[in-house]
Amino acid sequence: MPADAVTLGAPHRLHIIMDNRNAILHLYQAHYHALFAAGCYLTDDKELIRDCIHELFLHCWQKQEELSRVLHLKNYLTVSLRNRLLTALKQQGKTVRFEPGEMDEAEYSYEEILIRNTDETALQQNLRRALHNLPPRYRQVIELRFFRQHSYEEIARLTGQPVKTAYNYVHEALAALRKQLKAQPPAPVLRNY
Amino acid sequence: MENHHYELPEDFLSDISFCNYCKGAPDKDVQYWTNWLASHPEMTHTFREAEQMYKLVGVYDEGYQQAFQRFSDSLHPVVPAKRRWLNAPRAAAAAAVLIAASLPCYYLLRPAGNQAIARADRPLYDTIDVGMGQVRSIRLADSTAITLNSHSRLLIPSDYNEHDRKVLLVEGEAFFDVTRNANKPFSVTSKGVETRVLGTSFNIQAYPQKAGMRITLLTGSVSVHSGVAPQPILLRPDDQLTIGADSTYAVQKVPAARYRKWTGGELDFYEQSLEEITTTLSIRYGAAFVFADDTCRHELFTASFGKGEPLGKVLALLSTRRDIRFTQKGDTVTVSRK
Repeated sequence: MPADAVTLGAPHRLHIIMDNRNAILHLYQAHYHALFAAGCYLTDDKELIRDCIHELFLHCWQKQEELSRVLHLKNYLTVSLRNRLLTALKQQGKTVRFEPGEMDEAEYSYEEILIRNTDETALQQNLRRALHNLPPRYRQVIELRFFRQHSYEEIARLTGQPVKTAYNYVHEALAALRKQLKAQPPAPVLRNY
Repeated sequence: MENHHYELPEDFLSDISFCNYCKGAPDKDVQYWTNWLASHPEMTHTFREAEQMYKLVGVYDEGYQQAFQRFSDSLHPVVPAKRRWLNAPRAAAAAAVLIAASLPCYYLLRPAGNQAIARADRPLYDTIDVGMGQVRSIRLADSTAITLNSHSRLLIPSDYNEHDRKVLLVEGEAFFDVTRNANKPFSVTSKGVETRVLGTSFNIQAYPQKAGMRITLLTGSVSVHSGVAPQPILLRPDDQLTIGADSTYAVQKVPAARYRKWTGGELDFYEQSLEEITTTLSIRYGAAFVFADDTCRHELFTASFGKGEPLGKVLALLSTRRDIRFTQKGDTVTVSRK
């Protein structure tokens, strides 16, 4: 495993020299999917989320001195994206559950995200049922790791456990989820050609 | 999480780097796991299961590649030098090097000139993915027909058929029936090898699980531009070009029609070693093969199986006339002597 793969979420001052184009592309790669997932908690308009992420990174590229003062990069990016998204949604006259700049708990739940994610396939129905059958503490770590895309360090902080325990929990939860998925009637998607 | 032992899907899924591979970013994780899989072929099944499960459970953007491309373009509104030398006469060789170094393939596929930027919000290419156990046929704007085998990925630029006809077989196997048009040459790039044609039908097999690649010509003629030969290699009907992992190559006469039988869902082996056959079976059926006796690997078979034949039946037929035993346990098949 590449050595720095787990350290992305750790609070750190940004030391990357931003006139290097590769640096911003590297940041983009490292944070894109987590930001996209964060966006999914606010709206189901995928194009809008993509546009906002695009503008956010362009802003970072143009205003490099601003970024060099940021202490916790991931939080900065997540909050900036939320504010951009909420402002855009408001301009479109969409109902916004809370104001830009507020940190609120009134987001969509991961179940809502799953449901509206697409025209729900049999597989997704299975997943929803399987998640529902899991003990709540397992469901929580799955959500933190795979929906919120938190690192193990962040999960440990949020659940008040040592990092090793957080890791073991995710592993156990995945095993339980896989068992649940296997117990469901298999969805007829693979192997029919 | 260091020195991890990977045995079950959850061992992979609890690894953040593996999840990054599933999402397609950052590149270093994608490269790391692509290489990992290539050096642990016996784990293919579990690996794919973990990947499937990630795609089900994880929230991520399937439009990431286009989004990244758009962002990357907007940072550099000037045509980069790289693209200029790609247009030089030695483009094919350059392309081969680019792919071999597994740089992003969109450099190859980007339309020349500035219109790329003007249309940056349009995806630069369409991706056709064919999953395990599936065979898919598509027809392009110029009525060229392409059939893709299991576990294959094909990229088609959005300006296909505007000035030329270029496609990229990222991995897998495909049969091409190309409509003739001398003004717009057709070419396929795969594993750094470019096959150029006017109007013809041919098969390319380039699975990452199999070392090297194979190009088989049915009708017409093609020229193959690669790093392995100084001159383009010309193929005539029934010629098969095999390029080895060590960049050696050979052309031999084969009954070419055999190499398109899979397009109808059939499995067809002509004097192939059991090792090659099991690789094909593992791609088609998603099973992992383990050789308990290494001498079995080199047994040669000629065999043909109809469409939709279950794996159990295929294995039973393969073992009838040889002292080879297949023991199927779940999705793992052990090959041993009787």
